[in-house]
Amino acid sequence: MTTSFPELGEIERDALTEIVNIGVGRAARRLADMIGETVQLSVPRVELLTRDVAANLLDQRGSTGLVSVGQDFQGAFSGQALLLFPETNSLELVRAVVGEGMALDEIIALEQGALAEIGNIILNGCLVSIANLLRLDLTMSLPRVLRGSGRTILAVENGEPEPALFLTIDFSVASRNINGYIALLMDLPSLSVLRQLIDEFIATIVQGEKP
Amino acid sequence: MADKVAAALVDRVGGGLILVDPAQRVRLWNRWMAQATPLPVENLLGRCLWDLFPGLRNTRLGVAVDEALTTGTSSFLTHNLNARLLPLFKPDGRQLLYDTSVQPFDMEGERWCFIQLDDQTANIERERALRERGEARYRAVVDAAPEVIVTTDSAGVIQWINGAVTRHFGYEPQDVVGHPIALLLENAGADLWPRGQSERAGEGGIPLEATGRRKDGSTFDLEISIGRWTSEQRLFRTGILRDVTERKRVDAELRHLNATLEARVEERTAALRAEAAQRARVEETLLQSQKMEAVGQLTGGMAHDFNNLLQALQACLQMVGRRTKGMPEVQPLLDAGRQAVDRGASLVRQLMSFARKQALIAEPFDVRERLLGMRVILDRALRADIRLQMDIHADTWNILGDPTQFELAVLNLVVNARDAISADGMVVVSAGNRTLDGTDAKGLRGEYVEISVSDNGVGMSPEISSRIFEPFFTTKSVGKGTGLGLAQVYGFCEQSGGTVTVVSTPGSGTHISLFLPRSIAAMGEDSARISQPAKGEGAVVLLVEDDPIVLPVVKAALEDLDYVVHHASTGDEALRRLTEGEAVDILFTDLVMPGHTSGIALAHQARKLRPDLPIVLTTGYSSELSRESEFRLLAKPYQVEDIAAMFEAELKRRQRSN
Repeated sequence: MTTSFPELGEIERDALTEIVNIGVGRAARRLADMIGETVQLSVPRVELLTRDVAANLLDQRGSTGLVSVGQDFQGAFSGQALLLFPETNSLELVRAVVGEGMALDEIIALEQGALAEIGNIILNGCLVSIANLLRLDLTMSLPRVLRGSGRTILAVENGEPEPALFLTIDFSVASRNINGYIALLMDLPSLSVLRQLIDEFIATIVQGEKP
Repeated sequence: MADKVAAALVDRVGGGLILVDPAQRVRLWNRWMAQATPLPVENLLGRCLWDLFPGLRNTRLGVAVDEALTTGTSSFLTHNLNARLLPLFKPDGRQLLYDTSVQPFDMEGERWCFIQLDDQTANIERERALRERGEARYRAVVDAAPEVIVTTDSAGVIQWINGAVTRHFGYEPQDVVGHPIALLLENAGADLWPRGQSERAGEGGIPLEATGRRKDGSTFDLEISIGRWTSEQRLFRTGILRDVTERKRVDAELRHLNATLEARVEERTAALRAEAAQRARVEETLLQSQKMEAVGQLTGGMAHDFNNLLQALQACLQMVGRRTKGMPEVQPLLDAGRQAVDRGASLVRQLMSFARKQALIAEPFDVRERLLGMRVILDRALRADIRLQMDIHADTWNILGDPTQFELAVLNLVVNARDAISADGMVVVSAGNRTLDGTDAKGLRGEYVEISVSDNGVGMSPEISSRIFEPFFTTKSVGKGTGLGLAQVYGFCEQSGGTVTVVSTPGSGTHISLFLPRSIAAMGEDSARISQPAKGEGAVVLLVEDDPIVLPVVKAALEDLDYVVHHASTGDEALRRLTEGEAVDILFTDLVMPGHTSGIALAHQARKLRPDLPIVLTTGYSSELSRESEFRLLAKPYQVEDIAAMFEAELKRRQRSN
């Protein structure tokens, strides 16, 4: 399922991983600030997958339905940023942010909006830091909240059958029994641009180290 | 034109629209915004947003605007998480609730920022009103509920729980919300809780049984009823968890009670059955003894009359004998007559014995000695093919009874045993001490000697063995038995204050036991019989006798012996004459007589009047006799010689004491 990623060299891959790591790290800090709990992150995985395979992968990770908060980004390269977690975690995530003591039906009532905003904060944090690092100019859409299987979510987010670059980072809030992941899907035509941006980024770092 | 239309539309939009340029100055502020803000529009346009609302610079809105302008990100701010961003009010003064979205907006090559505000006030108020109305009732129910009421999402994660969880599980509600239901239920119970979208067992109203687990790890029995509901297209399940520990305990107790109730009923039934059987036995015994009593009364009355006749006959024969001395041809006839009287007397004796009317001469005697002494007689009574075994305990107590009757009873039993054995058998005569506690031997208590006669003969059916003590009941062929043998045994035992029991099984023999009371008195000396008739030497006898047949014979016999006989026909008459001072040497009275004064009463009065007067009593009835040890007693029918011997002994005793 996982194919190697010949377009990117080892250093470039490491650099990309690092960039995403920084972005997601910033997003995680925002989430941690919102819920007042520590958020654990895994090392990002970088994979080149078709939508089908990606959808299967998503569905395999949880037997229940998924909730996704998705935002499109456009600029030098395009794609989607997704915050994904099992549907069963969503109420708990909302509760974690809005605080205890709120009645269940109140939480249900505000769930949709709160999820959109929480996802928005996290994804913005991630994308902004990546854009800043890569000196990139992007515009991003408002968040969408979707429910369903991995397949339906990915179909809505992008119907293209071509392989895409998947960057996934697991996150979990142990004390809250919340877990999920952040995925960045990048269209392949953007890949060469990305590579260029990464190379520039690497060059900046090397320059910064020289003096 | 297009600009005018656009401007008109912007003002008609039912929400707030703000446009901010890269320097964060307000470039558009639509009518909705103007109506919700106390500031006039003219004063707003061209001014920096943060100069107008300085407090918002460091909020999420400030960050969102910054990011939109610099990085091109879009942001969504809900009213729930970002209350009171811009202070917006309705015309009636109430605060507006709104969601805010911030997006980059490309404007002639520059990046501007577009802020949109969606009024949520009406929605929120409507929802809140609905919720509150529904909730008031709901809360009242669930807060007061003694049962734990818990709601989970479709994955079984607890979303809400009422306060009863503290009492039943030891958790505070906030401890469990967000945790899987498995926190409260043991494994099997947690598996029962339905998951997913499909309907599962337990949701149809049939309660599930499960085991609850408290915070401290202890467990208890639960009954769970689960219902499902949806809200905003999400499936939830609410369950009522009922602690059934107490109910189960009561159930178990009831079951136990039921089980033991049956046992108790069985026990009681058995006891009642035993009691009923016991009562039936007692009733049967009573009936039997009443029957025997009745038969005894009848037999006794007849025997008494026969006895008097025999008495008369005997005396007659005796006197005929005296007066025909030296007439050898008369002697054989007299002997034949006497034999006939003896046989008649023996028959009557047995009848009387059964009727308990026979004069039993009760005295202490040694059972062992008597039985061993009978060995020869018993051997003779048995046939050659029957072996006799004597099994007599050496320390067997003395008993109180009539030894002659005792011997007769044993002989009767042995003869019966013999007749029960067709060929080659054995009869065992045994004796031993028994201390009875009332549980057997017809309820006797105390110290008894049991004398048993057992055989290995044909035995008897219960129908037969229940009747064997009835007089004239016999299984023997006509002429072979009188039917009085066992009646004698019965009468003797009952009269002696004991009883007789029989155990018999057809085919395996019969075992009959006599229970006779132990005697604690020392054995008396055998009263020596005086063989020669003594002479009265003119002594005056006051003979009290009401029987006209007996009277002349006895009178004649006494006169033959040189006694002067005065006769009184009732006790009353005799007493009167004694009181009047009639000269009498001996009082000889029957016990049962008509009139107010019985023989006993007469004897006692006479003893008072004349302490020196010799008194001799006679009777055919034993019951009075056995109580009267004070006076000399003569059992009917008696020989003339017996009277003479007793009179002489009494006269001599009186003389000695004088």
